[in-house]
Amino acid sequence: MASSITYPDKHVMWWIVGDNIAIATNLKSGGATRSGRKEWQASVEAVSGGVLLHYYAEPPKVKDETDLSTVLPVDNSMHAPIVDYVKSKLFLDRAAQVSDVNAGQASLAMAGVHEGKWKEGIQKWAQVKRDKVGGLRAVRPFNFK
Amino acid sequence: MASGHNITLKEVIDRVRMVFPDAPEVYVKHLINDALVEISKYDTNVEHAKVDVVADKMWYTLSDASHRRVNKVFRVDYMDSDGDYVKIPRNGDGELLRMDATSESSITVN
Repeated sequence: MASSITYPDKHVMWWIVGDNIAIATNLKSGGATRSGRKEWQASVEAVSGGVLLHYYAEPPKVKDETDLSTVLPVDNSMHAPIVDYVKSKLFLDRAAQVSDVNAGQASLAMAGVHEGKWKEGIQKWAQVKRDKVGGLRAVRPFNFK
Repeated sequence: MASGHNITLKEVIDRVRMVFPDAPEVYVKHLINDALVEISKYDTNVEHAKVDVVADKMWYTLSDASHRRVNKVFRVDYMDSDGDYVKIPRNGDGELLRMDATSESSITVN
């Protein structure tokens, strides 16, 4: 069911406090506009699916029972860095477990190498424009005539 | 997410096990989750969710909108009388004179 508000851009607004979003309107039931004190209040109508949120979210978590054939929910440019991240942590674990000092130092060094690759990957990834509208569109030279 | 080449959990674990043949599967999954949390610090994973508007209710918990953790809301649309979603403005102040009782009771105060 559609809302009864013809111009939501004029009569509805939102804001965030902590983990809550507020939706307020200055319309009374019947469509008349409130003014002055107590102008913005909760909506007087119920609308199924009335608000559409657009937001940045965490990627879905990989659960323990997740099937191994599940595709990782990240951009494909982050595949190799994720492997580097896991390896760096495992090398750190190994460095803490081995009794041989030299083996421990070697593991630490490898942990550093993979951590560096991870950081490099995530920094490059953060800088890459992924919204599919970037890049060169056309070159329009000056007219010298 | 770019399409084309995808990677499965098995492929990640296989690559890791080239170096660590005994790496526990569950532990590797936990490390992958840690990596995903690190990645989520960057605003890249765009999601959308619809929320039902309830009469006389001003406040809505963001976790109600989606089971995924909402990092940042960057746009909100409201359904108009034609059934179209129209962008609504954000109130920069957020300090209204009146908060209705229903809304207040919907906020959990610890």
